[in-house]
Amino acid sequence: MKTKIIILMIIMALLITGCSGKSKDKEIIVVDIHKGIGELEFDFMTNMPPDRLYSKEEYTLGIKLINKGSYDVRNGFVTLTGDPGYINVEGGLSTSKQLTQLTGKTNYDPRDSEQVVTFDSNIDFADTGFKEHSSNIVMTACYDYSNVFSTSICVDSDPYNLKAVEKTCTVKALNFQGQGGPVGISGVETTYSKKNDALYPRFKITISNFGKGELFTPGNSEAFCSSKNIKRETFNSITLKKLDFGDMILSDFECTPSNIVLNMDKAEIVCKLPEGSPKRLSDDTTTYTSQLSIEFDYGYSIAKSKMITVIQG
Amino acid sequence: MVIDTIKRAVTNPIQTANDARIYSLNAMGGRTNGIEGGLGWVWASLILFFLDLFAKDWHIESLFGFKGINFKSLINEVFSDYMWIIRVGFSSVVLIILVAYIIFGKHNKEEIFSFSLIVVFTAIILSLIGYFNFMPGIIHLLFAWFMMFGLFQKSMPKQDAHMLLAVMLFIDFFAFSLVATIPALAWFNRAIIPIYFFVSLNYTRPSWVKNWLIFAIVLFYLLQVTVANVEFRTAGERMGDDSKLSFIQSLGRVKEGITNIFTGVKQGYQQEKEETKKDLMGTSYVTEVDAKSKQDLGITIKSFEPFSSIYTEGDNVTITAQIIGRNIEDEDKIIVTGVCWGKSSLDSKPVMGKIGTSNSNMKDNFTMTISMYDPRSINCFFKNITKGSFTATINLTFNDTSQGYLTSYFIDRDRFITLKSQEIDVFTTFGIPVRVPISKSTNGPAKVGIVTVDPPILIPENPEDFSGYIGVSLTNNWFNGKILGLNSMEIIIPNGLALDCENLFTENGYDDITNDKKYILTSEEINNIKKYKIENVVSRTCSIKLTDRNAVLGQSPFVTKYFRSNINYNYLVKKDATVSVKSKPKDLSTTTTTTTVANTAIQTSTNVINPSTNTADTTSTPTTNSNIIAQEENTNLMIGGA
Repeated sequence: MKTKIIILMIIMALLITGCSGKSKDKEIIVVDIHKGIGELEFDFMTNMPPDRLYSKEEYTLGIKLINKGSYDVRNGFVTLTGDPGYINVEGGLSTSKQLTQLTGKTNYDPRDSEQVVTFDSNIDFADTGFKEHSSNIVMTACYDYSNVFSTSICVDSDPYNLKAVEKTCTVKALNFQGQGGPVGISGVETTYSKKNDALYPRFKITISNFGKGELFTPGNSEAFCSSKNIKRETFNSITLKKLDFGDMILSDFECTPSNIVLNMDKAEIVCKLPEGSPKRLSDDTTTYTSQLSIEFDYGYSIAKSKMITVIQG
Repeated sequence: MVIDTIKRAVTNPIQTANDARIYSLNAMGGRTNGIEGGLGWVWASLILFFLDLFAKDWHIESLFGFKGINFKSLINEVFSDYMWIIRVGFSSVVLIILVAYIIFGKHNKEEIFSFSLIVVFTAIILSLIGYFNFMPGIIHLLFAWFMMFGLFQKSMPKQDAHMLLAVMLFIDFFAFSLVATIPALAWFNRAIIPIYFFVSLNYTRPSWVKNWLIFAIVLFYLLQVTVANVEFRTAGERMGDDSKLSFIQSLGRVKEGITNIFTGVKQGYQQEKEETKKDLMGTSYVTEVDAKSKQDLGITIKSFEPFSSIYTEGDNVTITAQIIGRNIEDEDKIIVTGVCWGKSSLDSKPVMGKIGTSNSNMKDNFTMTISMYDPRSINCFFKNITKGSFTATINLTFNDTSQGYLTSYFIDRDRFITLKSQEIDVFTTFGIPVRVPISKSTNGPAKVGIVTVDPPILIPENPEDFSGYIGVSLTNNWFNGKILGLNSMEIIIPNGLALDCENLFTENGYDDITNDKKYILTSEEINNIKKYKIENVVSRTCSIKLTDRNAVLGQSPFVTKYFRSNINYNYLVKKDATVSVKSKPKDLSTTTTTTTVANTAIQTSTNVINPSTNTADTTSTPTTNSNIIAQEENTNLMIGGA
């Protein structure tokens, strides 16, 4: 009998010690990845190449790319251009390689993705009368990227404050610092026009290039990173892919301009619901908030150079 | 003869007067058969000219300084009052007289017509002349009439003489005034065109005086037109200050013009020569000698020093030069040719020395090869130097090569325009620190400069739309040397481009490392350059065309390329060394000696050595050696050479 009681007490003790209560360090954190500025960063790897190269030698040039943005790098290319007569890259003056491993962050895995690209090079010395030569090698990365924006917008059914009803929200201009990419929405101004007991929203959306690179129409990465002729309309051009507000979608809106072109790293687009649209809002409601979602794709290009001293061997 | 003349004058005064008139006129100008007039009219017309010119200065305005008839004033004056009726009436009277002349004289129709013309003309002048300057006008009128009778009436039919008089009167009294109303023809005045002088000169018989006068006139007017930049004021008024001043100024300008012609020709020749030389030689393009390029290229005279800095007259001087050399290709040697020469401060004539590496191989000129960092010594030897300050110079000529390159950037033109329109700076975008690079050159006696279009160089889709140029220069880089001549000039341009000046450069294959296209200066152009002394700079420019867009840009949106040049030339470097040469110490002997140089033994004893016999002698006589310098009294001085 006593043995049974002892065994039962041991089991109970085990059960009691096994229960530790609510554990704080096992809390799941969801990161909002669509925030801030993030872009593809790249640089030469340490000593790949070294700052001084000797002629008649071969070196491996390594470039490490880090996707610090929130979106996948699609159709990405990196081009490395050497110095004629001094630094030959893969047997020629310049070579391009694809970027395939640079995925975007996720809410549950907010880590940056990386990819290392290497280039073989051989060093010459074209001017025999000199002992050293300063060469400038240039890296250029071109890729397609995305931007996802979402925010709550106040729907004010009484824009002229005719009703003596307390409003739960106010319509105001909103500013943002990016959505996890080098290009993003930097501001939204909402206004409503009222006609025949209906509300028609109007959004003035500001898109900014927060990064240091150049914008182009998606799908032109390979051309942009090469010497090909680039048409003017390809530069700094963005096309909205999605604009949802409540049950309204992009096609319900009239957006001007239809083709967005950034000027001085900024562009403004005005999207309004046309009068008479069946998706107009009723003004017979109290003030409330609704979700505005905007998405667009774009191409982005960044470049970097490095000065290397080539020594005649 | 005198009594006969008097008798004739009493019995036939009219004939006598006529004879006297003819005699005096002939005395002034001689008989005028054909163009046989005497010079007297020439001088007379000149005298009249100057009298009119300086009438005011000489206070003879009442008689001279005639200025013609001013039409503007004439109209105002003539019709200003009722007196015009009288004037016209007067003219009519003259006309009546003319008619009488015609009826009662034996003249042909041409004579009558022409005579009538000049009479009417004269009458009109007489009627108008009172409004302006009466006596000067009368004198001019009479002068013209007398000239007709005395000069050219004898050398042509009367009607022609009458017409000539009419023309002269018209020009003198009316033409100048009429033309003076036209500002552009202000130069047409009696100061510039002394009509009586011209006419008299024309009808003067040929003589050396006439020829020289014509030459002087032609030259005068030629210079007026081509050099002096004549600006004469209207001489419609009296021939006074303006015309006189213009004339005097004109003479001054003529003199200045003649001087300027010779000076200008000389300057023009010099300028033309310099321009041609400059065109041929070119300009020095900005370049930077790369401090990190190979040092000590070419031949450097490290030192040029004598064994001693003080010598005695008659001594032999040896000056040693330490030289080092380096070819741009380390394995290659440099061939150097040297000469030595010197000059004494007391003698402007230079003397040639001997040069060599040892006493056994001293020559007038010496050639040697020098390897990299292999210092060599060369001696300059001078015999029997004279007293004073003696400056020795070593000249070394050698063949050398200088290299240069210019960094440039290329980009697709449309891409650049698009970026530019977006205010995107390509240099910032691609991280290029130096936007407009300067060419770099190797160190050495001369430096290479290269220029081209400012980067980025835009490459269009259509090669026809591309335009560019390249300029290459070789500039002297050492202060103690000069470029003697050009042997070759090679330009290497990026693959995909080509030079577009076939008369200057020809293709010469491809660069082994970069595969860029090579061009060399043609031999004809090199020979052309040899006609001029280079000394400091020579350059050439050439257009560039686009042949292969893809070859230039490759796969890169922004690419670096180089323009290169290798130039081979002959160079002269020199260095000086100065020694002080004292006089030989004086001997106590009072004998007279002569001083000679060369081929006699040196002796410092009190004995006098006869240079010819090389034996002691109490007296010595100058030898006939061409190097004999001087003879000194009461000295026992001898110099000689080894």
